[in-house]
Amino acid sequence: MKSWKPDTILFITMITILILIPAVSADPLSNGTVNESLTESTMIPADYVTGLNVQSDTMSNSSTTYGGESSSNTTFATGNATAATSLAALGSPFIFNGKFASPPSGAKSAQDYDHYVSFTMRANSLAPNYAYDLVNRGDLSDGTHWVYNMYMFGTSSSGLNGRIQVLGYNHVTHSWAELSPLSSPLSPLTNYSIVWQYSNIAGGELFVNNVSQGPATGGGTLDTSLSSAFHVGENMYNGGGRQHSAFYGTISNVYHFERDLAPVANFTGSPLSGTAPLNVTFTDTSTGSPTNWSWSFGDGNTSTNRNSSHTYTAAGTYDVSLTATNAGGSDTETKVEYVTVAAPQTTFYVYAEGVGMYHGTQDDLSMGNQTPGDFYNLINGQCGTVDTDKCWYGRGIYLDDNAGSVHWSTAEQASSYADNADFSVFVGHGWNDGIVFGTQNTALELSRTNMQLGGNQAKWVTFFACDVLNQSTQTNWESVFNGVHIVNGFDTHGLLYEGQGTKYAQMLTGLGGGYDRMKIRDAWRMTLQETINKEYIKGAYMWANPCGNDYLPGFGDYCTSSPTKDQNGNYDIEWENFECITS
Amino acid sequence: MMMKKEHVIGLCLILVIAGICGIAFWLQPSSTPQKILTNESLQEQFQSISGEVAGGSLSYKIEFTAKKPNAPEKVAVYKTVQPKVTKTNAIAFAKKFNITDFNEPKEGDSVISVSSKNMTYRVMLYKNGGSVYWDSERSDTPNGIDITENLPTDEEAKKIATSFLKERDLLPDGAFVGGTEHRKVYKSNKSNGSKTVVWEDILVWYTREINGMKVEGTQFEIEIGGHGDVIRFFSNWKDYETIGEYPVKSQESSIETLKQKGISTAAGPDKPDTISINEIYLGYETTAVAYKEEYLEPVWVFKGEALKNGTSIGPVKEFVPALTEDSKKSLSSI
Repeated sequence: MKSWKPDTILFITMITILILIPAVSADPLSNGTVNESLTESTMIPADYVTGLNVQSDTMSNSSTTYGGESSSNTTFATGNATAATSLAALGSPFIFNGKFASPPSGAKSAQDYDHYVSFTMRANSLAPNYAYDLVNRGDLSDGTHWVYNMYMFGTSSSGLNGRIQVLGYNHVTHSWAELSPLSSPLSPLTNYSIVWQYSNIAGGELFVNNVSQGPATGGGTLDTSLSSAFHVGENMYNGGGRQHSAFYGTISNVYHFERDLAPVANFTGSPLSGTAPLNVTFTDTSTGSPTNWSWSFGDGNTSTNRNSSHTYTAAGTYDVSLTATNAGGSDTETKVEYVTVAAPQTTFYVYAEGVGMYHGTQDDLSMGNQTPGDFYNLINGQCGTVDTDKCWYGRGIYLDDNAGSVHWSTAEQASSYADNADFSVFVGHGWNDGIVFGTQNTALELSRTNMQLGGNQAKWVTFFACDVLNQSTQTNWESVFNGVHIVNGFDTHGLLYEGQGTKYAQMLTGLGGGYDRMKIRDAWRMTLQETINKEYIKGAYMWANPCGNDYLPGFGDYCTSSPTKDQNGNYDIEWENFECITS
Repeated sequence: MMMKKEHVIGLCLILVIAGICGIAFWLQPSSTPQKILTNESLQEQFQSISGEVAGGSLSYKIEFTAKKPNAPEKVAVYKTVQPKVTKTNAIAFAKKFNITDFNEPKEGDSVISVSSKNMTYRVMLYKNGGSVYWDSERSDTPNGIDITENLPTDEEAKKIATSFLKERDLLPDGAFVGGTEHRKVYKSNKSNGSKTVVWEDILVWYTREINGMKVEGTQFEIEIGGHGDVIRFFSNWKDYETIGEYPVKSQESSIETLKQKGISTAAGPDKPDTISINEIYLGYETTAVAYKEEYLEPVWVFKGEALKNGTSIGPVKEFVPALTEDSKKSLSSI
């Protein structure tokens, strides 16, 4: 075995001493002073530093050791709470002694904040039959209840002597369980760095000398009504078969950090769908007491109000997001395709009336059909398939009255109904200068000269009636063109065909029947050609340029302006009579 | 007793006149005591109607000047063969008209539609038989192309139409040109009361005969526009197969039915005072495409003129179903 030379041994010894001296001198308790502190990097989560809320105080009587069984025997003088915004601002070292006489400035409601307490604990002894209260987080509302209690068992406490426990209490609604006790007891007259990190969400975790004792078992959350009072070393509880006392020993380097919990953003809106302009009221339902709100309504508009309303003016589906912020951070809730706004509707009106009865010599009332009703029912309520914002609604009262219309009287004018609809359909008797509402009642005649079609609203008119637009007198009907685009009619005497109202509507819209949408005049011709098998029945239409190629609005292009007049003030009228059958 | 020559000649004239009258009486419908149905006789049939109604009047008489046709006791009746119409058929049909860029075909209870993407061209196949094609930008729409001076002659139009149909295998056996019509869009000039033709095409229509009898109703029509372009096509062609011969009503019986039914074309605004029936024949009537046809129905056809003050104000045509009730019952069970 190789022997060491004396000078070599001396050299090693010196080096060892040089290494050990700083380490020994760094022990704050080695010379009775407290200068131990935890470092940010080792124990304090970074996000606790951010949004830091620190209370600290300076120990006024670090060497006195007392004990007691009630708060009146508290050994520590009341300290003065101060606040700092960062660890660096606290200075180091600093010592906290005793409890805060009043809730520290800035103490927060327990449910909204995590907190973190660290201190150096040196017990003078393990008090017999007692547990030393180390830290309490109490309920500000009455000063006696607490959220949890950290205590250290004395020497004869069911074998738990020298253990630290943190326990939640059931007289508030939380239910999380105590921490597992240490595997080995703490020794008196020894400095221990104690860290208790409590998260309202994650639960608690105890560290002793930077070693985690494991997370709190169980779970639960704090009563949301709780506020915080933070106490160190104060006897908070005395009873329940286990005596608690104020701490015997020294507690120093107390750091108490509260961390604002970032809010959890959420919101509701109402209504969530509708036609533009759509005003939606948004209500913040975030938790975590946000202090700032930032709304994004999905259409480029924003708001910073807590609750807000917004009017959508354009059709679309919108994502809405709310960012709720407080000192602990922010959270964003985005609801995808939350608001659906339909384009502003342009409303069109359909009106249909008539007896659906054979014209002329027939008097068999059973021959009446449902042409006007069929047509009306298939148009009313429909929105366009090409322009979905254009929708059709009924106006007036249609009547399938095969016994003769009773809706009309001589005092009524067709224009009062038909003229206030965009698309008007009449089914019944007609002649080359008018129509008749009713099977045989000539008193219900309405001459074309008394029609005001187009004067107000009517743009498209169809007469399922004999001789309206009869070829020889067709130009008579130019008098009804006063804004009307198209008039469809017959040049015939007598017809009775089932299903024409249905087919006509299906062809106009392309909805049902297997038809694709057709222009209004095409639909009229095809309706007649498909249903008529009498060669003497001719179809007819007239139109005012440039509006003769209109589709039913919503189902294709149509003239959005009125027909034009020539230099003499006359409409540019064209017309055609066409065969429905050839043989 | 010897008759004088003058007496013999006179007697012969009397016999000839009596013979002519007798023949005329024999030709007269047996159930019609008079050749002319008066307004009064019609009124008996329409007791519930009195006075005029708008769009029509019963104030007319019906004259029968037609010769009594040879009416068979039975005629052949044909069952209508229901076509098989599918989207594939419809697309193939569209391609015959050079529609290749089309929307998804739409199918309904009675029709399948195929439209070009721009909605200008479209075809439809009817499930009851028949089809249609048209160019919606040109059909019935003034466009500067389909004008009188750009049209072919009628004879040229017939050739164009027939050639067009044959090239596409669309002209069925038995179809022949029935005639042409010029369809016109007019523009009025309110200032001077004139009208001008601003759009025109030529409609060539086809028909057919079955069992030597004319089929009434649209069969085939094709429209030729400017420069000989085909701008519209409509078919109501149905296929038939014979199912046997069935008894038909007599002409006399059909006239009775006509009196019950009236002549609806007489209900026009010009209020004819007379309907003159100058042609009666037995034919078949095909239904419009909207309606399902079970069989090709034999009909008595009455054709004539509506007259007012001795002047024609338009043609009239009325069909009376020819099958007897027993025949219809028999057919309904097939």
